[in-house]
Amino acid sequence: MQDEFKVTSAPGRGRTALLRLHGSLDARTAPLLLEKSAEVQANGQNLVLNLAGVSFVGSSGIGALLILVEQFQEQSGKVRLAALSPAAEAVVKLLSLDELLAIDRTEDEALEALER
Amino acid sequence: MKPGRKTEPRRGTRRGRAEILAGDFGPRGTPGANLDPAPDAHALRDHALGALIELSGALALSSDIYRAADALLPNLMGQIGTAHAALWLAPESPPQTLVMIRSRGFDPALARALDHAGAAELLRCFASEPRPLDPGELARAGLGDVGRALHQARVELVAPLAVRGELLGIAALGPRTGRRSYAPMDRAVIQASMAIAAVAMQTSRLGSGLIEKNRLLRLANEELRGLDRLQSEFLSNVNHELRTPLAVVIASLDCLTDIVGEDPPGASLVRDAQNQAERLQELVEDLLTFSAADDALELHVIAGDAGALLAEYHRERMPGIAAELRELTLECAPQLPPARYDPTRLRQVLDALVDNAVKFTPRGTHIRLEVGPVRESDRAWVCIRVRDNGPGIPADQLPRLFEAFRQLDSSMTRTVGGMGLGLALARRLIGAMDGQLRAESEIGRGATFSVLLPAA
Repeated sequence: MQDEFKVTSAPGRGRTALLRLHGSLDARTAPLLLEKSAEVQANGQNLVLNLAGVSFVGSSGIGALLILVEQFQEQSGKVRLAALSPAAEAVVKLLSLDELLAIDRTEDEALEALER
Repeated sequence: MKPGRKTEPRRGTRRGRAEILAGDFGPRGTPGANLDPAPDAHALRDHALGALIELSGALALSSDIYRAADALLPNLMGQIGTAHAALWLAPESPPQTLVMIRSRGFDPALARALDHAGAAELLRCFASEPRPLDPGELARAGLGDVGRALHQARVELVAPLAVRGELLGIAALGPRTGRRSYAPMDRAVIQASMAIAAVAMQTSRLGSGLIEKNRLLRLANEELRGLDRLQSEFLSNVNHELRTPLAVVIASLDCLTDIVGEDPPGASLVRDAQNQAERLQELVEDLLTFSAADDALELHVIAGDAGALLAEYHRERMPGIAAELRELTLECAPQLPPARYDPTRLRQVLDALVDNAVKFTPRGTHIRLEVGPVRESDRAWVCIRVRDNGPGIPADQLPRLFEAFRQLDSSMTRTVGGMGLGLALARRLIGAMDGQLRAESEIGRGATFSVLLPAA
C-alpha cells in the first residue's frame, strides 16, 4: 500500500481516452483518479482505464471506480477497465463487480469495444 | 463468474460474533453446493477490515461533513459492492426534515423522497441498526410515502448515523452485486463504518460550529469597535457644535443680567437660565474631554502636595455640600510625600467623585475626603479616598461603574440627571497620570473610591 500512485495518459483511439494506473488505488489516491477522469469526461471522450500496474485496490478505490462509471453514464459516456492486475482482479471477483464494470483482457480490446 | 445465492435477510436474529464471523461472509454458490467457502470468507473479512482502516484514515483527513460524506459513501460502496449510496443529515435546529448531503448512483428523485417526512419520525424508524428497507413497517409508522419512494429508488438497506445515542442522519444503500443480500456480518461492518463516520461528522460539526461562533464574535467585536469610533467622532462633532451656541447664550445672559437688574421676576428667571446654561457647559466640557483620544489628553503633571490641594478643594466644596445637608470632611495624614499629578485634572476627578457621592446618597450622608501614603506593588503611592456612608453599590454593579454612559439604573439617572460620564472620565484621567482609580462598596455601608497617585 506504500506504492506511489500515478495516472498516466496514453494515446487513445478516436473518441476514447486511455489512462494507465500504477500503484495503490485507495481513499488517499482515488481523488486523483476522479480528477483525471473528469478531465476526460469534460472533453466528451469515453475512457479506458488500464489497471495492469495497480498493486492494491481498497474499498474507496472500488467506490471511486463505481462512481466514475456512473458519472460517465449520466452524460452517455462509457468507461471500460482493461488488463486487470491480480490485485484488481481478485477484488472484482470477490465482490462480483463485473456486473457493474465493463472489463476487457487488454487495452486494445477495450478500445475496440468502445469504437464499435 | 457464477451467480451468487440470494440469502434472505435475517432481521432480529441475535447471534454470537464467532458465529457471525464463521458463517456470514461469502454466501456464494448454490445451497449445499458451496465447495470451498473458506477462501472467500477470509478474503471478504480482510476486505471489510481494510475498508474500516481505509475509512478511518480518510475521515481523519476530512475537513467538513461534505468531505466526510465523500469519504464514507465510496468506501461503503466498495466495501459491500453496490453502485448506490446516499447520505442524509438532520439539521441542528427545528423544524427538521432530513437534508440529503450526497447521493451516488440513485435516481435524483430520491433526494426529495424524505422532504415531507419529519426527521424525528424517520430517525426513530431507522434508529437502532442498519436494517433492510421494509416499506410495510414504514407504512405502519405513517411513512408509507417514504417507504414507497425508497423502494422505487431501489434502496435495500438503511443505516443510522449515530454517535453517543444522538442520531445525526441516515445512509441508504442499494442492491449488492452478486445478488447478495445484506447478511448480519455485512450489517455489523456497515454499522462500524457508520459509527466511525458519525464521530468524524459530529466532531466536524462541533468544530465548524465553534469556527462560525468565533467568526460571529469577531464580527460583533469589529462592529463594536466601529461603533466606539463612530461614537467618539460623533461626540467630538456634537461638542463643537454645542460649545459655540452655548458661549453665545451665556454671554447674552450676562448682558441680560445688567439690563434686567434686580427686578424680582426677571432677575430670578435670568439667574435660573444662567445656572442651567453653566451646568450645560460643564457637561459639554466633560463630553469633550471624554471623547478626546487618550493621546490627545493634555496633561501638565507636577510633583506636588496632594494634601494642600485637598485642603483647598475641601474649603471650596464644603459650603455647597453642607447647604444640601450633607457633611464633607477632610482627614489628611501627616508627612505626606509629594505625588505626581495634573492639578486641574485631579480637581476634575475629585469633582466627579464628590458629585457622584452627592448624587447617589440621601441628605444627611457623611462624605469624607482622606489622603495618606500607601505602599502597594512595591511602589509608594499617595492615596486619596472619597468615602461615603450612603446606601452602597451592589457588588455586581461595581465592575461596570467606570463604563461610559452608565449609571446604576435608568430610574436613578432620571432622578439624579447627568450622562454617566463622570466616573469613566475620572478613570481615564487618573490612568493618564499613571495612577489608579478603584471602587469598593458594601450594601448599606456606603462606598469608597480610591485614587492612587504615584509618589514623586
